[in-house]
Amino acid sequence: MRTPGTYVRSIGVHLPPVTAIGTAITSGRYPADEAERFGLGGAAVAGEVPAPELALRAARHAFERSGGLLPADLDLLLYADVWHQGPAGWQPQYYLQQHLTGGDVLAIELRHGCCGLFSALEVAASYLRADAARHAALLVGADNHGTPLVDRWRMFAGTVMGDAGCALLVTTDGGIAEVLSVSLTTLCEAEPVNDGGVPMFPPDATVGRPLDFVARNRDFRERLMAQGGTSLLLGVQRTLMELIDQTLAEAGIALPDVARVAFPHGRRDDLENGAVAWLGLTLADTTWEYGASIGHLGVSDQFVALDHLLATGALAAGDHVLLIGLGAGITLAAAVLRILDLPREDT
Amino acid sequence: MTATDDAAALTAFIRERLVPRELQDRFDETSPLLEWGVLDSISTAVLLGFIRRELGVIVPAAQIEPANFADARSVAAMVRRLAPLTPG
Repeated sequence: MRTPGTYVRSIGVHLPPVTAIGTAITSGRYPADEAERFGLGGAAVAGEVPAPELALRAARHAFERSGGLLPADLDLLLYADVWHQGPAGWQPQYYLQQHLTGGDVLAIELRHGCCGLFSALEVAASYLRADAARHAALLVGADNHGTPLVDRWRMFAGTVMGDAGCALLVTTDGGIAEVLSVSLTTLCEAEPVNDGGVPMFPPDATVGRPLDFVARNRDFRERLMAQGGTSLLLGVQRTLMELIDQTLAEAGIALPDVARVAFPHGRRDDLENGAVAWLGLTLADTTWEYGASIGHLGVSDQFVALDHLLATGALAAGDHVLLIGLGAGITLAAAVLRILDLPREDT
Repeated sequence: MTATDDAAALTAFIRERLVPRELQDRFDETSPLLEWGVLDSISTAVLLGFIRRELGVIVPAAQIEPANFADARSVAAMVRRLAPLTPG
């Protein structure tokens, strides 16, 4: 989708301290040989800080960097997340309303897996354009994976889970980046990829059933093999390639025009020999190294990495960045942004 | 590289890098890549990466069809078809 007149005014990030992979190795939580093989540095670990508090801190940071935008200026608040946020019967976006924005803004939790901030961006772009009186949306993403039922060090092969809050202030009148295009699609035939073959009812959390993506993906693969093979998974690759082509075309650019590509924070060898290779890139063209130092953040990877690129001077005005998302569904996402200016301050 | 070289390189790469160890002895250019589960989303991406880096051929999205990935021989045939179309 082309997104004319849509800008990221500012990005706010709250990244908790990193627990080094060596610490996880010493305590027996991660195997040393895998850490070396996958080049992992560690995971940002929020401890007892709830995900909505990470989101709140990131949102305040975004306002501090916004050059004067106020919470009262907002027309929309979208809160994207992957993992459990707090008490059942309660929703995290209201925490941000209570402590930051007040109640006079449409505020919705958006559960769209690891592509949630991409979907929030697409929804916000459309929502702001639908009424000339609307000018600003706050998109937040936050997760804290340090809970029972999951092991942040072993949820995926080749990567570890980190925690973060990330906030984007999206406006119609300029900012640090122009959003040129955003696209999402779902290969819904692969919907069972993360279900592990367990019953949908009662839901996992209500019966204390743990989540291990390695085991669940293995189970899905075994089911595909029992049905005749893995043809379905070719479709993931084709759909991703089509989505990237479409998103770049809608942005009016080609891949050689892109300064950096941000993928989900995943396994090095898969990325280096897979997507990076078929796109004709190198790992240095991506944000992999930074991602490996903080872990997979659930919903926030590409946008926290974008903030890092800006903060470290890796991008200049006029540069294009391509963000690529992959999540449950199987959902695929892509966005192209053009950098207009550097953040107003780095607080 | 000749077309024969490409086919041999593809078959060797798939056997050594993508085929599970327990199936490698049985693997040849006619082994079914999808029925055996050799190609999934990740390994397909890795194969496309090899084709671009080592054989210099860019495979477009429209070519990602089961018929083109049925076995190593069909992958090699697709690469042969695409080679003249890839910018040098």
